[in-house]
Parts: sequence; structure tokens; C-alpha cells
Amino acid sequence: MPPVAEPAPLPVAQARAGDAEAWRVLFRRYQLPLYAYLYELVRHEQTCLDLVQDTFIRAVRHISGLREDAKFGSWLFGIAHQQCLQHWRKSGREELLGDDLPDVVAEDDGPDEILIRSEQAAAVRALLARLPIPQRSVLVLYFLEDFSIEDIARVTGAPAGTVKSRLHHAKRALKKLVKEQP
Amino acid sequence: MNQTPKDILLEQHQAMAAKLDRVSEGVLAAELGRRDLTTHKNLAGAMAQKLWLELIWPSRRAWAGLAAVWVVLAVVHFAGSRYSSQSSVNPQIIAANWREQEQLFAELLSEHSTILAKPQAPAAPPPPLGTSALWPTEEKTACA
Repeated sequence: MPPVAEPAPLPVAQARAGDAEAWRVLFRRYQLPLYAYLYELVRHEQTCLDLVQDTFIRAVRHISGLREDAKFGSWLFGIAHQQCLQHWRKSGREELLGDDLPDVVAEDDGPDEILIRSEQAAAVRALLARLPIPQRSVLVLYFLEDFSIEDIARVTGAPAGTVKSRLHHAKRALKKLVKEQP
Repeated sequence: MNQTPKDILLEQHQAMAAKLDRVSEGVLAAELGRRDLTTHKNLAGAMAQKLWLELIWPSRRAWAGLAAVWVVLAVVHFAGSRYSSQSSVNPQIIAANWREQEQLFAELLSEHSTILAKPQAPAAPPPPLGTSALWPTEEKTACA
């Protein structure tokens, strides 16, 4: 098996020092996953662009509050999640955040273990759209950034047990879909 | 061909890359430009603080004394200038004073010339050394 090159560490310290090039690298790395995450929650192109912009502005202004440079990704997604909640509060859609699922023990498989055939992609997107937003949120974070349960809990502000439960139900639904689809 | 869920999630938004680049660049220009201004303000503040701590504060008593002297000098200066501006004398009074001074001077001169004009009596010769004042000079000559 060929050795896998480790990804270069993100220039978070340089960004904290106000290095514009470092910020550019960070933004390029996260802009599309952030947009994809927000799109799964909001499903409106211009609103998502606005939320990405607000997220980046807040990140630049509050980078001094980030304690661990390695957690930059989950910190940034946490800001985006908060921006999304604010957007929903303004439009009176806070009820979208609630779900009522029993706690379960999460399965220990990685996000890449679920492989989807190209012809199933549309069905997967449709499934995501049908999932309640809290489950959709944890599943998308899990798939996009391979965040741990703790990271997802930090991003969404939900307890780790709740995140486990939501992720379990979302993954089970996805696997069922992949198996059932011809 | 198989795809991961991440591929599926990202591929549908690839067309947004250009717009997201513009958003990122806009944020960088706005926020980091603003931060530069703030940094400049902070720099000026830091320099002022350093100046205060290193130059003024260690010699604060000397600076306070100097400031007190300056205040006293300023008060004296302004009080003096106010007095002089208030006591700016009328030119007529100056002219009257001048005439009075001239008159006094003229009187003094005339008195002096009168004194000089009077004949002066010859001064008595000084007594010889060792002679008593009790014995007049004529008597001493006659005896001889």
C-alpha cells in the first residue's frame, strides 16, 4: 500500500496574526464544504452565500477566541451553524431544530464506508432532503468533514448522546436506501 | 462508479466556486483592511503609552514641578499683559506729563544758572599742619 501524504497543516496561527494569504488558504479550504452544509439546512442559494460571508466575517473578527488551532474546522462550522440558527430565528422557523429520538450507541464505521453508485446520487440527495434537519445536520457534518461525535456536538450545540442518536438514525436510513435502490 | 457521500454533497455545488471566491475575497478586503486601520490606531496608542511610561512617569515630580512653573509663568504673563493693556495711558496724559517734566527740568536749569552767576567768596586757606585752631595765623606772623 503506497504511503499516503499527510495533508499540510492549516495556517491557523498565521491567520490569527492577520496574514491575508493564510486566511485565503483557510477560506479556499472550507468555503465549498461550508456552503454545502448550509445548503442542506437552508436550501436557498443567496441565503447560503450570505451565511458563508457572515461566517467568514465572524471568523476573522473572533479568531482570537479559538483555543486549539487543530479545531479550526469545527469552530468555523460552529459559527456557520449559529448563523443558520439566527437566520431561522429571524424567520420564525426555530421548530425545525427539534427532534425526539431515543439515545443509541453509535456504530463505529467511517463516512467513506458508505459508497454510493453514481446513479444513486440523486436518491441520496432526495433522502437527505427528507431527513429532519437535526439528523441531516449531523449526517452532513459527518460526511463532509469526518468530524467526531464531540466535534459535531460542539458545532451543533447538542449533547454528544443526542448527536450519536441522530447520526445513527440518519445513517441507518441512508444504508437502507443504498441497499434498496437498484 | 462509486462515490462517497462527501463527493455527492460537494459535486452539486461546484458551480458556486467562483461566487464563493468572490465572497472570500470581499471578506478579506473588508475585514483585513479594517484590521490594518485598527492596528495603526493601536500602534499610536501603544507609542503614546510607551512615551508616558518611559519618559513622563519616571520623572513625574520633575515634570509636575516644571508644569507648575509654566503655569505660574503663564499666569504672570497673562496678568501682566492684561494690566498693561488696561493701563494703556491716554496720549494726552503722556503729553501733559511730558510738558510737566520739561517745565521741571527748565526750572532746575534756571536755578542752577542763577547759582552759577552769583560771585563766590574766596575760600579760607587751610590751617598749617601742626597748628592749633586756638592760635590765629595773623598773631603767629606778628610774633615772628
